[in-house]
Amino acid sequence: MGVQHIDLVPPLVEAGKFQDLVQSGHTILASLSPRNNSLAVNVAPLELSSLKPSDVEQDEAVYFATHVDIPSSERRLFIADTLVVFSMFKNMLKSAKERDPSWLQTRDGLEVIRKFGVDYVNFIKECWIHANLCLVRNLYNSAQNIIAVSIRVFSLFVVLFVPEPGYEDAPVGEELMEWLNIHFIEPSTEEGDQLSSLESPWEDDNFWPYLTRSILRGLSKASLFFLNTLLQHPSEDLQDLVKTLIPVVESQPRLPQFSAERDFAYASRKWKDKVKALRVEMDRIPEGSRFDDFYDWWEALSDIVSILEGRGEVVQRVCEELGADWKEVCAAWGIFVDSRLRRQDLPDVVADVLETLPPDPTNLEEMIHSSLFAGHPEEALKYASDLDLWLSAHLADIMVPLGLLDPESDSESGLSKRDEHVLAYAEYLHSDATLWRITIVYLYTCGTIGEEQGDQVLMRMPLRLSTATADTDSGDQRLDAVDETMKEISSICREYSRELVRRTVCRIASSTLKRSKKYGLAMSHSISAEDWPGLGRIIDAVLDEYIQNGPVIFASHASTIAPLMEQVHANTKTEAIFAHRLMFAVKYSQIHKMRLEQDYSTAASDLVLLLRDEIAPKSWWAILLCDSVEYLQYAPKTLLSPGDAIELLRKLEEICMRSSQGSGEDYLPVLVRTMKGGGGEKEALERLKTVRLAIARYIARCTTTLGGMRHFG
Amino acid sequence: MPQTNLIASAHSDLITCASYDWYGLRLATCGLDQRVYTNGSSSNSGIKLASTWKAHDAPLTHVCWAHPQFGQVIATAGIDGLVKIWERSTSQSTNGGWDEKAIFLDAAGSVRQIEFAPCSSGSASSSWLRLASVSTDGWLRVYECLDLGRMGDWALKEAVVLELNSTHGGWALSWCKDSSAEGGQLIAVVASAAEGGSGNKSGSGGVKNETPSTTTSTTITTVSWAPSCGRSYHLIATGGRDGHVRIYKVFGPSWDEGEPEEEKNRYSSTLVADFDDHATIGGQKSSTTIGGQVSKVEWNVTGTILASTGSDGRVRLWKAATGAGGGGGRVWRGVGSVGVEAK
Repeated sequence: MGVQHIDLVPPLVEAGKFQDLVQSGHTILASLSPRNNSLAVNVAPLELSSLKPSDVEQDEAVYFATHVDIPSSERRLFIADTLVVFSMFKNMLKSAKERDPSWLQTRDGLEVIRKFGVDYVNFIKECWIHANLCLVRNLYNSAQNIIAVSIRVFSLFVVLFVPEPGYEDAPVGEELMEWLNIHFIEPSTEEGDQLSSLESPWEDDNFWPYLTRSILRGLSKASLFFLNTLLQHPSEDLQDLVKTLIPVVESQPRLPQFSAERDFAYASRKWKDKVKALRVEMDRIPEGSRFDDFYDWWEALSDIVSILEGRGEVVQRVCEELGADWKEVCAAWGIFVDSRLRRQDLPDVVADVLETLPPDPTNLEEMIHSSLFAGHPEEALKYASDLDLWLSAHLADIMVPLGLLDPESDSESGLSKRDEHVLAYAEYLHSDATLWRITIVYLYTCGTIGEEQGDQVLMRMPLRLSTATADTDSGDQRLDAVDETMKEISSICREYSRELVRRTVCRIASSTLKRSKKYGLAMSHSISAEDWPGLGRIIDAVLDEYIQNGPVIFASHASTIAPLMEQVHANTKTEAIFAHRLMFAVKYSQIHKMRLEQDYSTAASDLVLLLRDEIAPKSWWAILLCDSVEYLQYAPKTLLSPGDAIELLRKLEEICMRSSQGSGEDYLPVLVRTMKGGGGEKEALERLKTVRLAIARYIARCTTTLGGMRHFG
Repeated sequence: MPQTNLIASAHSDLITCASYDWYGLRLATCGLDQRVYTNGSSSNSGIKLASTWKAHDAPLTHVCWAHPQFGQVIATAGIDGLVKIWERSTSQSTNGGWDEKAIFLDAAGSVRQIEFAPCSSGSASSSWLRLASVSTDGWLRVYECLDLGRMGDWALKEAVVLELNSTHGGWALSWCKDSSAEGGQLIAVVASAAEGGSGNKSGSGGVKNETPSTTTSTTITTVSWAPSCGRSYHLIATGGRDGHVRIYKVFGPSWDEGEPEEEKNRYSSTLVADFDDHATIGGQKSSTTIGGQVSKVEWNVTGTILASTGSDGRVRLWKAATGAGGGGGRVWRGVGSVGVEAK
């Protein structure tokens, strides 16, 4: 595609005055959006070395622009519809390659490929019909024009390169003329209507050109109608000639009428003899009787007979005079000049014709057609990519299994020709973030490079959750939405074996959910991503709830992660330290739950168990010891065995001793954080003195109650 | 190539840096007014201001977003030599809802560019949060967050002095964004008129200059390392005071048996594109000392489009295509431009 340029509005400066802005110390900066490759443009200081308030006068603004035309709604429909054929084609190729790669070159394989080519044409036609409906609403736009071009190009491609199996070597003229008549209608219906309404149509200037072109296009019905009108012509000579001509035109052998080409060839030879006889008859007409008051009818009729005779130079000249182009010459060539013209011989004819009637180099569609006619599919792709990336991508995709395009990757780019075109199309799709599902389908068909580009698109699909919205009313709804997006992305990752992408997205979701205090969901995503450090941070966050908000809220959050404990332990890849920490968080929360339910006895023994089995991290020992005071002081009964009390004392001793040796950071940070009004290790140790007192009192109580020290072991 | 939107900047002075988040949904800007603004976009309401706060007591030079797996984290840099880490608050607090989590005070000069290391999935870098900074004191510094749960605990992991040839130079850096082990381990950095190089950072050896990737004598003002996305080589783009945008193809260490050991470990580079379009103003090469220089180069996320901006008042877009003639070979060419002058 050519270099496009836009000027942003409102302009920053008058035309040609940007240098004034530069002289005053300004420039511009642009940033590319990961979402859709759009640009954000802003004015910036030219130099950062002399930063001082600027004297820029205009209002500051950020401009946004895209480097491609974002697909319109009709275009999006077209893109989505044709994806269906692309995906089915891809699946077919995949299963064929798995079965037998050579199958694609068999008659059955080519038949299937042809079916897909025809499917593309039909799908595009349906889109064209839809687009035409939009015409009623005056919505005709370039997208629709591109659809029309795509129909013409794809149809031609099918005619030339994907013939019906068994007909690869059959004459191509009839099919070319049919394509031309469908897509480039000449002569126009309006002209025909106008002429047919005249009593003496030959008196009209358009009559003979119209009749000649009808003959040239093989439109026998129109040709015969107007030849019949000539039976009323005042010239009896002409009437006689037309009487001979009509059955000749009527009886022209057309390939589809024959089941064997040999029969067609025989009939054509015999028919040509009839044309020769007509020429002899024409030449007998005296010079003075060869025109009427309006036209030199003999010359016009001679051109028609010359066309029927298959005189190439006349076909070319007549086409030029009629304003027809090289396509019409080539198609007519295959009907009249060489009715047995093969596909493989067409390029030679095209080369000759193009010498005198070259295509318009500024018309990309023309250049695509001429490249296809000339048997240069790769050149056609180049022009197609300049015209429309959809067209080049899908043509390239179907060209590879047909052997029209080298499937090997270029050593420098690492890309095959096909992948290059498909990637370019995918990049265009990326300009519309809503088309991400379609974008990745195309990217994931393009080898490692396409896969990694697809990964970038997939990983950047927003999960639609801002961590700051956890406290909003709609928070839960948005979390559900996350779940849906996550499910879809996970499913895509599994389909295309993009495990690393799935894990990255899981890690992002986990982090987002953690910030929203949805710890259970966050943890399940961490487990899914096998992100053990992330899992550890979630557990820490849950434990932090205790420090920040107290045991009730902590227990409530911990209950959401408790069901996952079994899963974490069952996972052989889980790093032990995190499984251990999770067990502590869950069990500790259960102790608080029991306490709230006044099951003090179990709560107390479980608390000691956490310390004895060292399930509790050292940094939490002080907290647990402080918790134990309540149980030690429980009046109705003793909740702990003397041995439990001694265990508490041991832990307390370790904390005090290690802290005095400078390792307080290992044992006291959590307690320090829970202390209202601040304080440091000193204050924390002070607080632990109350624990020591409670333990001492409890031991004394046990001694009294149980009658001796023998129970302390 | 349409213009899609226009928003009035809330800054009271020039924007010095605009940076999209991972998803391209939010744009953070920082400016001479010492403030940061974040703008969010949604399909329903277009682009609107999300939050703003005064981040430094001096003009800001750069702002960037961390990978979303670390939450909503922004880093800012200023001419006060500070780098700050900000995290989106879970509660409505001061600073527009952003909490200041850490301050790095190491730079003795203005910090010119900062960038979080990419989280290359599949490599060790996927679990660490690192930030590189380059400052006018001629140092490249790499910081690492030691406590990803709270974001407050950071350590200076690497500090490398860069060769300074001029005080009127350019300072820029860009991490390697490869999905392999190199991602987040290599960094391209330019300082003043020194040549660009890719530093190979390792735990023991520190950052060392691996290969000069430019041969130009001009001052490089901006550098950007393209995401490699499956390519077998790296692409690094630079922009300079001479108005040239240059693209280098960089190859990693060779694994060929025959190569000498010291050659094996070297990075090699070739210049694959050199555009002087920004140097040309109004059809003529700029003769002024401040005209015709490249202010920024930046790759898109797939490393297929390079955007450059310059003091010719144009944003230019560059892409590679297979060269004409069917002989292969990639040719870089301009595919579009954006101007800000009246028609």
